[in-house]
Amino acid sequence: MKEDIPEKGAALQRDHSTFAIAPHSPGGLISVNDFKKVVDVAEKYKASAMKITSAQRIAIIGVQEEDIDVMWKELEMAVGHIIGVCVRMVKFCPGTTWCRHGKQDAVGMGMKLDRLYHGYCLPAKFKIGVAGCKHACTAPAVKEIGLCGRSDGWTLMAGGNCGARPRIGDVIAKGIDDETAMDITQRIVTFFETCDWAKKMRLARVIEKIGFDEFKRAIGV
Amino acid sequence: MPKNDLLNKAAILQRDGESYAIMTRLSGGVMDVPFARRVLDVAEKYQAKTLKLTGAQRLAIIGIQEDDIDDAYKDLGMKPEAGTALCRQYIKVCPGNTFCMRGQKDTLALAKQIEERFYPFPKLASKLKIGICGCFNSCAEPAIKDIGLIGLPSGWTLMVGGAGGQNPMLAETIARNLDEDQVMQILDKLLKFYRGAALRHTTRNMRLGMIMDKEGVDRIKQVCGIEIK
Repeated sequence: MKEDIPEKGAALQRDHSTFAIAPHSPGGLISVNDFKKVVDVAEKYKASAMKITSAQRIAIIGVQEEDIDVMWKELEMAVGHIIGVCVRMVKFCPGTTWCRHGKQDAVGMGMKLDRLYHGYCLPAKFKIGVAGCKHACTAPAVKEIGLCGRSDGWTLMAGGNCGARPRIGDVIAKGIDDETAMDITQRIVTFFETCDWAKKMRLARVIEKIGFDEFKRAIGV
Repeated sequence: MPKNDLLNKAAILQRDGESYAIMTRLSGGVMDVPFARRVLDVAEKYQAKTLKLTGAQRLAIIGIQEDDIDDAYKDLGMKPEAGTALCRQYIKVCPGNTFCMRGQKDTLALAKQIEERFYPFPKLASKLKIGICGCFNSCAEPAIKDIGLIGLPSGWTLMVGGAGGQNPMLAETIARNLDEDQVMQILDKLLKFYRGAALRHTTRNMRLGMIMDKEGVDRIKQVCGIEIK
């Protein structure tokens, strides 16, 4: 009986025989050159389909188990952590780099957070979302940590969730600069890391359990 | 004259005030490998600055010159109007029981059915985002879509009134255990109501969730022909 292979970022598909893999493409930004590699590899190893995922990745579907290693080698791209108990993604919008609505550098912030946390092991699944303006196209309100750019700085939310028991995140701070946003993010991650009782319990449930005031105290805000 | 978005060509002006992003419209983000190859060829030929896999499961080709837009669409084999009301209307879909081990329902087929029947659906009061998931894990985030559908073994659960933007709201479940025909019938009524809301000054420019907040969930159920307990 086959199973998911988290260390190779391979998710078993419904046929119980093939896998899906998805290269790491922070913020969904993928250079034309990298995209070429993905298409070449998908073609060469006869992928049955490709899918743009909600986590801004491109999944190559219908991959044979024995091909996974060589595919990663040819892709020369980092593994996207599509499964596993870790920071699954840092989702970000085009921000001030591309979008005319951008108020904050969502791409810069997203990339920084991605380098620090993508794949980072925690007691439960963990999602981070960064949006450069109030339109919030990456839905930061339903991520474990969500940053929303305003002209006066970032609004930081925590404890959002859009799974089986959805929850809108609580606002932790408003009008903060990049450095403060990174600092609070680190504190939340550190706090969650030490919740060893929270096995597979997402941050939303942890905050509900201990209470919002206690959570704020624990992260020192 | 400063440039602006070219909505009839589904082209979005970029921050440089000069180049555009165009989107490939993919039902549920799913494509075959030859199509991906075509996108790559277009990106290379028209010297795209980058590609972006968007949260709405679209593939954006960024940094296209205005003069190249029509040719780029032609090479893609897509009609520019395929993306009408871009960013205002989309369906986000999980892999469902076509690919995913956890999928209980055929989400991709339902999405296709909805797209064929209702897209584009102009003159609505505000945006229309639909999320369709094949299991409770909700990876297409139906709880923050105007209309969310979750597939369970017993049928579809229908949620209404979610939003993820500046006023985030969680959707409310208004019906359970629906089959596909019932889903289509309810959507038909609901979307006509949402279009009618554009004509009423009290609800103009309001997302479905705001209208529901104002007029009550029972009103929405009544509109949809769902029994109110």
